[in-house]
Amino acid sequence: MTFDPIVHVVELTKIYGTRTALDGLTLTVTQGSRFVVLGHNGAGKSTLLEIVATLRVPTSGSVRVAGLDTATQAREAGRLIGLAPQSNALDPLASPAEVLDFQAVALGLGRRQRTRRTRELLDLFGLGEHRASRVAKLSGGTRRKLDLAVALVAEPALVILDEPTTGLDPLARIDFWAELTRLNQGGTTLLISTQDLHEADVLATDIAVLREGTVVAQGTPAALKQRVGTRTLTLDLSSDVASKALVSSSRVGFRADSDHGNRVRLGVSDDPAALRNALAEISGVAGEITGLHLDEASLDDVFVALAAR
Amino acid sequence: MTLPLAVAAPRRSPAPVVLAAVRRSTRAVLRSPALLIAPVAQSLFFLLVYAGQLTTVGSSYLGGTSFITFLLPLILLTGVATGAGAAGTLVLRDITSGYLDRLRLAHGSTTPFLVGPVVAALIAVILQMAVTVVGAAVIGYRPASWPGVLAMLMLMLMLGLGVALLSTALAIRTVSASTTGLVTLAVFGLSFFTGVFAPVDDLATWMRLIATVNPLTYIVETARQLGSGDPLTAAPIGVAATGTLAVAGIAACALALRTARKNR
Repeated sequence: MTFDPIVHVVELTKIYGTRTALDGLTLTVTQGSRFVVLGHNGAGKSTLLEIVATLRVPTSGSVRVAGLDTATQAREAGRLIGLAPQSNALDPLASPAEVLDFQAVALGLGRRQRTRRTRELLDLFGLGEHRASRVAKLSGGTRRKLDLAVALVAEPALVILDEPTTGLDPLARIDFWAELTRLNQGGTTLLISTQDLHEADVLATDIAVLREGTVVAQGTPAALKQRVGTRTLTLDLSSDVASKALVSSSRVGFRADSDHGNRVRLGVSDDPAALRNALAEISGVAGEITGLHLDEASLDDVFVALAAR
Repeated sequence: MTLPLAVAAPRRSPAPVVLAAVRRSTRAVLRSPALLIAPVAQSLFFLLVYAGQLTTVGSSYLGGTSFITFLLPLILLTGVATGAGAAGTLVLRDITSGYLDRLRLAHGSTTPFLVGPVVAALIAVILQMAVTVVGAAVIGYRPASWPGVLAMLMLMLMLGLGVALLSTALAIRTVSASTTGLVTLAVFGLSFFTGVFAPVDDLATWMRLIATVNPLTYIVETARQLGSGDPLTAAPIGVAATGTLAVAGIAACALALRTARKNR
């Protein structure tokens, strides 16, 4: 039984009262990928994930998970999905073993399967020593692991994670990313929303950039970086007048911005002809160059170029 | 793609999920001092203070009825109002943390996860009433018949069901702690507009008018009559009032769920 793509979103619109959260959004998540949705607060990331997870109903458009419509076949589609919401959606008064067992009951698993699955997941995430502790007393990183373990009780084909490492310390984040990568290598598709560009860079095999409820770009991290310029050329110019002239020049056929004084950052294409033209334009506008520095493009550049309002 | 366990699992009856949800919510109540101990402490506090202050005076104007017998139903009622409200608190906790959504996604329906807190709150109410009755017995409560006391507790439990359901409905509809607590506040407040320390006929005219239209008066009176073995003159309205509250609670929950579904 194979489905490719595992998530197919077509012309998805979601309106809350007078506010349009999603506006004709279309995207595809291929099976086995680690698909990251990037965007500002209010770009529509959480709404998109909630609709895919069958928790919300679209105003129009369609979402299919493994071929099942999430609006009309919500129950069936929901059983293919493991969800780790933005906050730790757990029972704070229960122990990890109790939380996992209860999730298994909710999924309709029998006693033997429940016991086996609880033991497997406690072992898999190294939660054995905490099995009887109250969830409220666990550290943030351990709670997040439990959150992921709960999402995996049904061995779902698709795991949805909404800002999975928010609030975790750097070591716990690295540890959690390793868990996600290991999970994905086992064949589970991950659909992740985040504002953390480093997290996206570490995890993503595919990225969709959302702005005002619509996808403004989708592709592999490499493709998106290439789209905004494969490299960033930072120029120190002789004066801030020159830097302003370069940033505002309508003749310059590539992205240019300046974050301070006489320094200008330019997105530089790999295409030799385009690069030659760009350099000619720079020399025409910029005047004397006092220093330069070449960086590989990062997702920060992608985010600034595509997700900025 | 490997078939997920939940898809591969055969369809089962909802009973195990409901039972597990009740077990989980009961555990939550037992592990939350504020939800279990506070209502018990409140009931015992009012019982001891009122009985200690008013037993001698009260017995003189109650025509032979023991003051504790007269007082106990009101103490139980205020305790039930507080204890049963735990259902709304538990549901609200699951809604705001996103846990209810997660459980709904797993099971396909929200209902078992609402039944759990309601039943757990009623279990807490039973424990709380048992402690209160024992406390009352220690300071001199001697009912006309214990089956009558059992019937009184059943009546209070029915009232608790209404309070639990209404607080659950408010939790779903408003997702607000202050609003969820309104049912408890309303029942608690209204309970003092009944014949609290004296029979309704002996109250000031304006208070008697309020008490006469207050449905809780008839619930308290029915409970008193069950405890004292007197004729059950207030029972038709008292039982109808508790039944109406429970039915209103079920309807309110259904409406709140429908609105929540519509707003998804």
